[in-house]
Amino acid sequence: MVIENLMNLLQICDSGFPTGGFSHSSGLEAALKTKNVYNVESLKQFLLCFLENTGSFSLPFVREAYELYKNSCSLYDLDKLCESCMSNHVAKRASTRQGRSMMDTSIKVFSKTSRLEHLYQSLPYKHFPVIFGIICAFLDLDIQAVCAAFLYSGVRTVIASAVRLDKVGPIQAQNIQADLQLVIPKVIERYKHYESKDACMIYPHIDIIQNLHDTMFTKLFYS
Amino acid sequence: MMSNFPSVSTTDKDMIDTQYKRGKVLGTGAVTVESFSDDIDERDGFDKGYVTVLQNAYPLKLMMPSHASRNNCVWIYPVTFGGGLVGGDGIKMNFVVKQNCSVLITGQESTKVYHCEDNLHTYQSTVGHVEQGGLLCVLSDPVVCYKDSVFTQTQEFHMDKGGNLVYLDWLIGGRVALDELWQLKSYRNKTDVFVEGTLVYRDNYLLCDKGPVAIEQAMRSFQVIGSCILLGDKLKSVCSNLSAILGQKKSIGEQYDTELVCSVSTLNYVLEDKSTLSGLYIRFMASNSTKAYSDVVSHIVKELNPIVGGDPFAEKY
Repeated sequence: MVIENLMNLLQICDSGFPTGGFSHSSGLEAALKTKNVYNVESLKQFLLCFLENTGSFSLPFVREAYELYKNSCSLYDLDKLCESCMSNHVAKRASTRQGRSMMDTSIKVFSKTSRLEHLYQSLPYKHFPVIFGIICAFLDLDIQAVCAAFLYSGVRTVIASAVRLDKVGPIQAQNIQADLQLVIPKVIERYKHYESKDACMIYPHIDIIQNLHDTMFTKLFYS
Repeated sequence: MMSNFPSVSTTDKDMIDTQYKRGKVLGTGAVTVESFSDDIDERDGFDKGYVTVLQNAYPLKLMMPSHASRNNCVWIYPVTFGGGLVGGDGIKMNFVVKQNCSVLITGQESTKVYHCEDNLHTYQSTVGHVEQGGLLCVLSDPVVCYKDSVFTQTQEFHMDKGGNLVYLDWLIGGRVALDELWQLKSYRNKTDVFVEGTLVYRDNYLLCDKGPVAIEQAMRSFQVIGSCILLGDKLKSVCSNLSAILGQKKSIGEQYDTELVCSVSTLNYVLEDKSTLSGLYIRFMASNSTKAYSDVVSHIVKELNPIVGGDPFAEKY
C-alpha cells in the first residue's frame, strides 16, 4: 500500500476520528447485565461470535459499497437492503449514527470533490458498513486492508468498552485484541464469497441480547 | 475448515435439483382462501373465507378441520407422514389469502428434522401472499433439529398494502431427553417480507458446526431460540399490548431472568406512496420449551386468540 493511503487508513480507524464508536458496546453491556458474559472466557467467546457476525453480516455490505462506489443508484439500493436486514432497533441505531458521523467527518476532513456530499444527500439511511466502504473507496484504499480495518475497528470498539465497563484491564484487553487479530484473516477468507444478499448472522444470540439494550435501567453506552 | 463452511449462495433450486435427481421426494402443498361476500364479521373483522384451491403431494398433507376456529378464520394443519422430515425430504408450501380473509397455519406437533447423511439437505419453503385486509397467521409448533441434521427453511411473504401478517418461528436444539442439544450440522433460516413488491424485512441466520465457537457453547443453557414478526393495521393493538408485556423496561435494581432473553423492536415502514406500515419484531431464547411457551409464546397466542378464533396451542405445552 502506498504510504499516503496507509496514513489515511490509520486516520479513519483511529479512535480520535470522531465517528462516535466510543459510545457503543455492540451488545456487550447488555450481555454483562443479563449475565451472558460473566468472566474473561465468556468475554472472549462473545468477541469471537461478534467478529464472526461482523464478517458474515456487515462485511458483505462494506465490500459491495466499496465496489459500487461510482454507482449512486446501486449504493441507494444497498443502503436500503442493509436497513431491511436490520430489524434490531438497537443495532440499527448504532449503525446509522456511526454511519452519519463517519460520513459527516469525512466530508469535512477529506472532501476535495462533491462526490461524498452528493452521496450524503442521496443515501436514505447511511448504514455504517455502507458508508465505511464508500469512504475507503473514495480514499482509494486496498480492499483487503479495508476488510481487515473494518473488522479490526469493530473488535477494538467492543474491547475498549469492556475496559471502560471495568471487566478487563488495559493490558489484558490488548492481549485479547492481539489474539483476535490472528482470527481476522480467517474471517475475511470465510466470507469473501458472500454478497449483500447472503448477509446473515452466524451467532444470532448476541444480536438478540444486544436488542435488549433499551430495557436496562442504567446504561453507559448507546448500544 | 474453511472450504467446508456452508455457502449461503447455494440457491434453493440448486439444492432441490441435486437432491431430487437422487430420488428424494418433494412434498408440495398449496391453498387459496377467498371470500364471496362483503359482510365482514364484526367479531374479528374478516369475511367468511372459502378454500378455492387445495393441492398436496406426498409426504405433505394439508388438513383443514371445518370447526377448528370460533370465527371466520380458516385453520390449516400441514401434516407430514410420520410427523417429521427424514434426511433429504423437501416441503414446499404456498398460501394465498385473498381480500379480507383470515388464515391460520398451525400444526399438530413439533416438526422433527432427522439426521442427514451423504450430504443430503432437508428443506422447507413457505410462500405466502396476503391481499388487502387479509391476515396470514403462522403459529406453528417448534422445529426440533436432531443430531447431525442439515435443515434449511425459507419463508417468503408478499403483502399487498393493507395486508396483515404474523409469523412465529421457534427452534429446539435437539432431543432434550437424550441429552442431545445443538448437535445439528447446519440450520439455515431466512424470512423475507415484501410489501407491494419491495423488500422491507429480512431475517437471515445460519447455525452451523463449523464456526469458531460451537453452537452448544454459544447457546449455553438455552434450548430454544425463536422469533415472531407481526405486521399490519389490524394488529396494531396486539402489537402495542405485546410490546408492553414483553418489552418492559427493568426498574431500579431489577435483575434479568437468566433462563430467558426476550427482545422487542417496533417496526415502522414508510411505503413508496408515503403510507406507513407498523409492526413488532420479537425474539427470544429460553432454557426450555415450557419456559418459552409460558413467558413468550402464550402471550402472543392470547393476544391473537380473538382474531384467529381460538388457541391453536391449547393444552399442548
